[in-house]
Amino acid sequence: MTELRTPPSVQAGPAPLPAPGAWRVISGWWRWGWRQLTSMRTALVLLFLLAVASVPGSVIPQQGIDPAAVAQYYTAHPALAPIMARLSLFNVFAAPWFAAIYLLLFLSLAGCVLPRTFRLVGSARQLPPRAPRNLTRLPLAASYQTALTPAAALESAAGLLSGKRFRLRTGEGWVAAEKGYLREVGNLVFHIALLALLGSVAIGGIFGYKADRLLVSGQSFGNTVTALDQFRPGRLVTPSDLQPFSITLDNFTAHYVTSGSTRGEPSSFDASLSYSDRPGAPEHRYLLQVNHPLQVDGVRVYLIGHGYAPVFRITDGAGRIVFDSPVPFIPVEQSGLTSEGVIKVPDADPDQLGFAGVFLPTAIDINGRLQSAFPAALLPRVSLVAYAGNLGLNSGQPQSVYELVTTHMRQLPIAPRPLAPGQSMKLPDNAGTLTFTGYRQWASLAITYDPGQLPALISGILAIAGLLLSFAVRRRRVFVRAAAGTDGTTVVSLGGLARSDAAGGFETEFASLAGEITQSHGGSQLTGSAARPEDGQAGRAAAAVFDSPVSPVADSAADDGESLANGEPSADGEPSANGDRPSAGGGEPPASGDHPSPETGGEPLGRHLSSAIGGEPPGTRNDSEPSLRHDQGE
Amino acid sequence: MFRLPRSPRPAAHAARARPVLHARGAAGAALAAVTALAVAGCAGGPIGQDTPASSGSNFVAGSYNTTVYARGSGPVAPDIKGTTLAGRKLTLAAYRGEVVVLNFWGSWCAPCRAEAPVLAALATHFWSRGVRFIGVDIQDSPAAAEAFERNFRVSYPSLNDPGDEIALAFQSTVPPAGIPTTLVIGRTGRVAARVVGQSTYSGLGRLIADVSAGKS
Amino acid sequence: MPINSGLAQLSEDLLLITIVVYALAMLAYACDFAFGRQHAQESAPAKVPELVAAGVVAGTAGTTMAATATAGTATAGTATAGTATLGNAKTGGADGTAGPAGGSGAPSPVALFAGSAAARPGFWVRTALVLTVIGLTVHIAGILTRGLSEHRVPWGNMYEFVTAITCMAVIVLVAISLRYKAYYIGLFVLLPVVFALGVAVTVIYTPAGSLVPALQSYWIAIHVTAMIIASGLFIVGAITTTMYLAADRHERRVAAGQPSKTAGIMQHLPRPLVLDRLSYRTILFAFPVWTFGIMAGAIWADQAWGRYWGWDPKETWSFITWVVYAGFLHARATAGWRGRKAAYIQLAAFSCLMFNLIGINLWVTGLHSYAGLG
Repeated sequence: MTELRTPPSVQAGPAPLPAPGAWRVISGWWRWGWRQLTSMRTALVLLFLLAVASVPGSVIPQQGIDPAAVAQYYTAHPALAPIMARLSLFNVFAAPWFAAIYLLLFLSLAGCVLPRTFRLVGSARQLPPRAPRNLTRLPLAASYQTALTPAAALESAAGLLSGKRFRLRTGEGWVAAEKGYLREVGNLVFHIALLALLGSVAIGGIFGYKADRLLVSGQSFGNTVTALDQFRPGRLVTPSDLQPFSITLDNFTAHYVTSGSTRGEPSSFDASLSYSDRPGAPEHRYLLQVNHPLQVDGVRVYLIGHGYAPVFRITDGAGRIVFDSPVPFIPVEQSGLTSEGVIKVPDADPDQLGFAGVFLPTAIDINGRLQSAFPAALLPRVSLVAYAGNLGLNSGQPQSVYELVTTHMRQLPIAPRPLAPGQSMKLPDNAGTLTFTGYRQWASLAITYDPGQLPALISGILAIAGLLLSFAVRRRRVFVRAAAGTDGTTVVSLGGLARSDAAGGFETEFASLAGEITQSHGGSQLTGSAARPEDGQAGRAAAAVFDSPVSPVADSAADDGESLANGEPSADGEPSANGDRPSAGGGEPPASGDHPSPETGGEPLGRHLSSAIGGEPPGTRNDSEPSLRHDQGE
Repeated sequence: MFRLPRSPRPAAHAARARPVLHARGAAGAALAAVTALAVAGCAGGPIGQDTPASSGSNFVAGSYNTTVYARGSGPVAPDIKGTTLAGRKLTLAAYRGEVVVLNFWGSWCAPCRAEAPVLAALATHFWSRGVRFIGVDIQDSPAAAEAFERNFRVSYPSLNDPGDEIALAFQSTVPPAGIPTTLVIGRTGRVAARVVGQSTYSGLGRLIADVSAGKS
Repeated sequence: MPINSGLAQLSEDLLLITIVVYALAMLAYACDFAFGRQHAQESAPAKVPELVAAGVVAGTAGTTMAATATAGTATAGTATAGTATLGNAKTGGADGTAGPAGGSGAPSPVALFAGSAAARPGFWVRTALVLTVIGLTVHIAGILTRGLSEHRVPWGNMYEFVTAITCMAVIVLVAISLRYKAYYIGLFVLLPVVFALGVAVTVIYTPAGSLVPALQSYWIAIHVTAMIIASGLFIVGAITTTMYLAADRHERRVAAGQPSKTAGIMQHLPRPLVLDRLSYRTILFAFPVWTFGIMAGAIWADQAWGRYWGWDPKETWSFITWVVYAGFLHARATAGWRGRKAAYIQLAAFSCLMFNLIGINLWVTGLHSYAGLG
């Protein structure tokens, strides 16, 4: 509607208007802000911001991925690192500013997509618009003559079109057909699926947990907080929520390539497990490998790492065995699996003992230095430095089991020499004896419980389906008009219009359609134009069609907050003012948008063309891209 | 229809605003839900005192907190059976009628070592009042555990639990949420209190006194 | 299973032959530019009566529809008589020389993209096409033999990725050439392909080998294949967009009366709009494949590493690439951002893709560091 129909009483004169209340001002600003947020331009900006914001997360070492690298960064840049930590640059993807970007983006997305979804549902049965009066102004048009009566011609055309699953609308001397509604469906499904994906990630983050556990072969553990090495629960996860399964690592074997250019690289890892769902349940066996996780009670267990655990027996000064177990050593390099480890003996008499050293699976002397030449344990040797004193454990301060704090310890004067399995090292001053009794292997397991995993998968699949649908389907309209001609024959004119066809392709379909219709009418003497889209006035206006956006959210439905009223003639051809919503209409649901209204002779498209027919130049050249002012309401 | 002066949008839309607002209202509500979920989920982290986060020391140390159950309302402790480090069989059921202090520990665990003297002293102190201490040794080797017991002169038996069966038994009721965890089980077999973290003489002592006197 | 070194050697040799054949094809395309028939389009778009009822001209009755509706069913240079249109015309043949003039039903999308050679590709274009197809066959054979020698899908390190991606780019080139008759992109696509292959077989060559356990999964055939397909498509899209930008710049300079250095080449290219559209179509194919590749990668990561998304550098850059291409698609829908600005965005997205492929594999370490180098 183009005019305000003010009641006569108000028309009387410029009465003083009441000042707007605070609520109106606030709501006015809110609406403005909301419109800005959900506009396409904002979405573009946010998309790019998101991409740019992800960059530091990939080039700066991240705490969650490589804590050792972060520590190295600290030592390398002692002044800069704390500042970066403040800005969450070592934890970019959990940073509040990163969250702000993607949350704003999804807000913008939802604010655009959800109303459109409601509108789509509301307009499911919406009819195509009326046929414009002058079909030759459409980007694709043709006409011919036929001997049939107008009514018969229209009927057969309608039959043909409806056979091709066009939605039809007939009127006095014309038939309008439209097809391709699924495009919007696909579009919306894609974007809603993205929202659902975010929701699934959130669910996983709230109700799921991740944990790690290192197991030496022969050891077992139950899924309790006390038994886990690392536990990263979601927000609402408590220790009693953990599924009570238990796992035993019966054996671990690693196979390595023994010849060729990839010699020394692992070829397979096999971890034989026994597990039970809960205490007392029967035990099952499973061969855990990389790419073959174990599923137990809805939780997945993955094989993440492996290494060696040499076994030591230590007797103290009093001759009692104070230590007898395998100690996991952590690999520090991959080609030979040289591993480092620490042994703590806090209950030795008279002094606490500590040892630190390396385990070499295949120890070879190279230039006087002992190195491991192959990752398999072909020639295992261990070499340790011994300490005595105060380990610092009794104070209660938790320590890493892989770190020896030697501030209150003295190194014992023994030259470290490589021990073969079975050999011993006698500590001076009767402090004790350490025997390297053998070695075992360990495997580290990652335990993941993510209730959002399946929803995320489904969302992803839906997203791709929606994407494909929205790319493949074009929304297009075909019009047929039949009128009695001069010499008794009927002149039939056809017109076609494709929205969102920037990649081209509708010409083909139109041509074949027109061909069929003509043939069915026995038409002859073809005249008419297929206006080159970019040329001429009407052509230029319609050129917009070929430059139409194809992109999903892009083309069409007006944002509900759009400020252009329905009837504003400036909608046609004007360079899109706010650039964002390439839609002419106001914010109402499409049903009303395509509602024939007497002034404009139809619907926004008609309006669009009528101005062109009326001869006004369809707007200034706007960096060679005519703006698209199309009707809304898909 | 009257114009709304100074509204950023022409009044032509005033009448149309309503159907749009419905759509927007619904959208807004859905958004709020998604946003709240996203913020909550993506930011991660423990809530409440119950849930310990990994402390980076390769075992999950509990942060100190105490949970006390009102008398008679605590969950029933599961029946625990096991073998002590000395090789004898032990069941929890045999201690019905006595207050049992169940302490999860390991010789490698620093806070456990720090609280060991406290536990030893309390065990002696409350023996006459029918309070029995039982330890549960986890993730430990027998040699190291026995050396620990010798060192701290631990007078009470400790069950050897390499497979975490005992901890699993408590999983659904009052799980040990870190090491060390101390459970105080009343005479009727109900858990009366749980202390996560290193205990203090006065704190744990008061708890045990209350439970043994039947006050909780 | 041990590596079959005979087949591995054969693969190397085949790839060397591929480079030579592609280089010859490039030469043939260049000769087409130099000696072949010029494109019908003048620099300034002249107004020539559009062929509308070309079918009429071609003399068929009834089935004249074939010609009508499509944009310009004009054979190059035949500014046909026939019924003039209602006023609008662009140079015939500018971007629509449908193969068969009239009578054969719906014109193909050739109408949209074909260049001047479309109606009857000249000798040089035919030679170039034949050489390209031969080169592609040898290329595929090289990849196949490599895979057979290793008893696995041959994409496990940087050398194999580059080989596969360039192959995909040439497949896209051949498909576009045959279906859309857009022969003009041949030279520009083969140039970087030859360069990349040259670098691959010399600098980053890795001998045939087996996969580390983390890659031993059927997902490699799904996830990495999708990424390779998408990358090949993105490459052709980027090349076409660059051509569009150059053509657009040329056109603007000509319209402003300024001299343009690229006039010679531009005579062989269609209007910028056509190039833009062709590039856009390519991206439309590539984007869903890339999306699928990311998803497949997430599923595989969940199987192998226990989490479907961990912000590993390669994951992050794949995501960045996806986001910027999504930005490109949204830009095409935003007035004021279409055309050149969108083209720049696409090139930015392409640089992210290149960084993802090259930079991440070579310089940044993460779970994805399977480049097989150093």
